[in-house]
This record gives sequence, structure tokens and C-alpha cells, in this order.
Amino acid sequence: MALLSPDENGDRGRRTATKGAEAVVVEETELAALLPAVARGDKVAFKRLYDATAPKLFGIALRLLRKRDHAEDTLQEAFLSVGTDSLKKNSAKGAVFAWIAMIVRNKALDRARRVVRRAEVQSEDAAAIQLAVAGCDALTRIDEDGHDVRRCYSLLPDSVRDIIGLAFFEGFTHEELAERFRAPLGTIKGRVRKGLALLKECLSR
Amino acid sequence: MNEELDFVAGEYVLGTLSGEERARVASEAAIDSALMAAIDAWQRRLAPLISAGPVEVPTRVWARIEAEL
Repeated sequence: MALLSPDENGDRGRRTATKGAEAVVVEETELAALLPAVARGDKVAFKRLYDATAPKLFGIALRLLRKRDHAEDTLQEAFLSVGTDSLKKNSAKGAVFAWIAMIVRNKALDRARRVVRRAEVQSEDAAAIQLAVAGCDALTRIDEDGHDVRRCYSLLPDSVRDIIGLAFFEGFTHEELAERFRAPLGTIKGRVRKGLALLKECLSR
Repeated sequence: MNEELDFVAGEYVLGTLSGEERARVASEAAIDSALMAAIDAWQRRLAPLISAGPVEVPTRVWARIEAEL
């Protein structure tokens, strides 16, 4: 898919990246090709990187924050640090999308702990969150060492996987998990650590 | 590898820590290279699991980013 081909003008790129959600595919090789230019301060390349990744990143932030305005602010913060850190990233190995996605996650979690109360979702945010939760399988599945972290996640015992999933995808804290599962905090913390240990063990095989 | 340190790093990346705990781990990681390395390792492990469906982003977001470039 030529989402980011050099002869493509910016307008067409923007429409491609933000129209029908299902049309968006994040092409890792094309992102990697853009990074050197982004690191040199090329604004056209930076805009292309944004167009190609922002809708999915917005979905990630929405799932964690459950509020559109906070998700927008998070995306803005994340891209400004992508611009600053692209030089460092350009010389390091690893997938570009995963790198940006982790920046978005970190900023979303910081914000969630700082300002957002996990209150009722506002109706104007509900549809967007629904979109973000639906169709999340299009991302790259295999990590750098060729292990499949999704497979390892799916192999977790149910009682552990539910907890790890709510924490990772929806941003639940230990306390929020204890409330949700009506379980003592210590039990929840134990299951989280069991999940982490099982994932690490599975990925090291 | 210090097992407690590795679990804390995993909890940080997974996102289960409270605001206070999260801020404390972040500031410790800035001066503790072993903790930083453990966080980095967990980010690499879990990054491929990150997922969400794409949602249309309002054009004002790019406008705000561009204004700060």
C-alpha cells in the first residue's frame, strides 16, 4: 500500500490516513524510511508520519483515557517528543510504530494518573472509544526477537489474562482492578506479578 | 537481575501503579540505570501487544502540533 509514497501529495495523504478507519494500515518499512528525514527536521516527513500513525495512536490514548480532550492533548504531547527524540531513535533498532505507541501510552498513563477520574464516560466520547476498542488486530504481531507476545498473552490463565488485559489496554490500576474484581489488593497485585512472570518466561523461550 | 526491581518495572510499563507510585518509579529510573534498563526491556516485550482501532483525529490536533514545531 503506497500510503506514504514520495510522489503523493500531502492532501491525499491526509485523507487516506484519516478517512475510513479500516483503510488505515501502518506500514512499518515506510515509517522507518521517514524517520531519518524527521530527525533532520523535515516537516513534510513529520506530517506524513503523523498522518500514517495518528488515528491508531488516538485510539490507544482514547482506550486508556476515555476522554477525547485528554486523548487529543496526549497525542499532541507525544508527537512533540517524537520530533525531539527522532534523532536518538533513528540510530536505535526497533519498530518505529511500537516506539511511538509506547510514548503515547506512557504519556496517556501519566495523564490518567494525574488528572482523569475514571468516571462515567461522556456520551460524546462513547462512540470514539467504541471505535478504538473495535478492530485492534491490525498491528504488527511479532516483536523484534521474533516471539509473539500476543500468543504468550493468549496462553495466560483466564484469571490472570483478564487482569493483565484491563491494565494494559484500559489503564486500570491495582486499586481499580481490586474494585472491579471485588478482590483484596494483595490478591490482585499477586496476579499481576504472576502474569508478568508468565509473559516474560513465555517470551524468553 | 533483582526480581523486585524487575516486577516494579513491569508494573510501571503495564500501567497498574497509582499516580504516586508511578511518579516515584519514573524519578528513580532517572538515576538508577538498572531500573531504567528493566523498564526498557519491559517496553520492548509489551510494545507489540499495544492495540486499538483507528479513530479520526480532529484537524485541530495537528494544527496545535505544527504551531509548536
